[in-house]
Amino acid sequence: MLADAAKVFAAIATLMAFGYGLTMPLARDTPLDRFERLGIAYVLGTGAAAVLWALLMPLYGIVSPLVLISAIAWGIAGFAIGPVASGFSRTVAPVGSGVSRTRGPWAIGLTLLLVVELGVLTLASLQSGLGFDAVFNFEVKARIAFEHPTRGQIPLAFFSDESRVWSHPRYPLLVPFAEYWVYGWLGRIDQFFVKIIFPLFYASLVCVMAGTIRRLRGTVAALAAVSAMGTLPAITVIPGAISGYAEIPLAAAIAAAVGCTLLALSTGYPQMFWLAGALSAVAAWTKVEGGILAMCLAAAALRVAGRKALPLLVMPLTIVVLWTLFQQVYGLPEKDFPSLSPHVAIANLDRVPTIVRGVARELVTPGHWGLLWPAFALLCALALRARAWRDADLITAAVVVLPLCLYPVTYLFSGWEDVEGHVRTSFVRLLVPLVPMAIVFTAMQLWPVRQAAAKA
Amino acid sequence: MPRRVQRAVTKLIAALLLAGFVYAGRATAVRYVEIFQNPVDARPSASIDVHLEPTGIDGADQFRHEIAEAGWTTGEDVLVLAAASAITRQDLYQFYYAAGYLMHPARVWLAAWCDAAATAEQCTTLAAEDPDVVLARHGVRRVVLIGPDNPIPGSDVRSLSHKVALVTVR
Repeated sequence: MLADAAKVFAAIATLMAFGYGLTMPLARDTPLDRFERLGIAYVLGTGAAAVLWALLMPLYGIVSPLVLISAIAWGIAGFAIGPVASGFSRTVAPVGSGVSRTRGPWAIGLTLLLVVELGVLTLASLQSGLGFDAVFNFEVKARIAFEHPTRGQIPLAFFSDESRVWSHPRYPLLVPFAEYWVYGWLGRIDQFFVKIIFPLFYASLVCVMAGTIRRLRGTVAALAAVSAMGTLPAITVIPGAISGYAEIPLAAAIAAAVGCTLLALSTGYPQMFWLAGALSAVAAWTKVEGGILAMCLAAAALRVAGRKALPLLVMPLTIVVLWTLFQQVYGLPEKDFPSLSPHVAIANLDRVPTIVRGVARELVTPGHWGLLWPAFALLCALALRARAWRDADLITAAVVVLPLCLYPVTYLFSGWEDVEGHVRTSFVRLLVPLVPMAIVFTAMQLWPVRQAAAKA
Repeated sequence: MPRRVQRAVTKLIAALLLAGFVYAGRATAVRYVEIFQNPVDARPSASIDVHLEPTGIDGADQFRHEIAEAGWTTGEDVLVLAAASAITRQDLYQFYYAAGYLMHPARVWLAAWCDAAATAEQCTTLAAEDPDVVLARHGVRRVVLIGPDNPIPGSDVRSLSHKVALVTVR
């Protein structure tokens, strides 16, 4: 058991080193907190390694993917360590004058609550199995890659295998890669040890959210927000962090991208747009909706910052285009959405009441989301009325509101006869990656800067 | 909106949010307790084994062992054929996905047949067909049969559980 734990630790450490090596040259001399850099390192390292894994598959008959990707990872980490080692330990003073970074009783209490939440979540993850979709949509691909005679390669035939269309071969491959990575280091398939991946994504999400809110509204607001997120069953249990689904990795990637975008806007550091773009690309490689979220973020950032924000468009779009081309050549048609023709949507307009009912019902399900969505809607309305929109408000709201408008429309193109069933089984998962930014926006509206400054 | 009113509305929203998070937190705690009271074994195949349980198969290791013992080659297509009276739709799809998961690279297809014990509703629910038609359509010799009866004449049968057998058409 200890030897296996050490192997898993080495696997994770390699991904962190990779992410750290990619992050540090861009994040040096920026106000990213240390814990935030760790969170970004895990997400970016896993995502970059997952992209490399896919691109380098033709080489795995010659060289092991573990050796190849590890060599690249540690090489980049080593290259970055020397010149920027001091950059990791040096954190530039946070942007946002007067923002409280107090360590008072509220901060201490909320920190303890957060530590308990993370500990319980991790234990629960290790004591529960992978969820249904986690096994049959994601982990199955990791198994196939591990058991393939050319270890690490998913055979091209898999993508056109009609008998396995239920495994959604069109889904991007970040989570399957992360699982294969653990299996590769362990030397076997192990559905127990692989679970550790997902609490780490949740911890990364907490880190990047907390860093963003801390810069904007102070320590107590940040801790309160991330602790509140830990109470939501859809975020923590299913389809949340312990289930092995891809929603939390996607949430972590897009939250990190938004955090870096906000930092780029407030500091004027152009390299942060590149880091944000890279994290958006990771989001696009995590789930199909990741591409949609990345485009929403890019649209908002381009609106606010102009051409400086182009990396937020170009980097995820590259992933989307390459994967779409690959699927066109080697894949099967999308079963759930067989046609995106406007004629299909027009023919299905009679579905609108069913879709609206299903969506509304999910948004006000307190057992999933508390009262987050009604509160978010009210605060948006108040902010619109007050016409008090800052860049941070616009960006965080756009990443929530734009997808919330788009997702219900997609059900007009659904190939399901039972569209109510389609909404009921899928919409909850579409909401998970939107929750962090909804909470960030809510925290910004409820916790004005001048209140935090008065307490500093 | 006057500032005083805006502050009051903001406080009301904060209070509602807090109540919502407490409610949701309770639901989360209940789920956690369920997990800790019924933990999954720390086995390498724990997550896939549960999907084989409804058919009485001990786990993935047993399934794969029996497949190997039956001499089924890895590349040959397999049909999961269920008697409509023997299994629910949900259990059938769980098993079918698990079989597809475990038997890669063999392609695994799914069909049901209307056995004598099945009701019309059961046959309709599973879109049951004539076994001969299904076998001809898929051109398979390997069948994972679910149910007590074997509708395939001239076949060798190897039992996996009280519900599942491996059938090789001669």
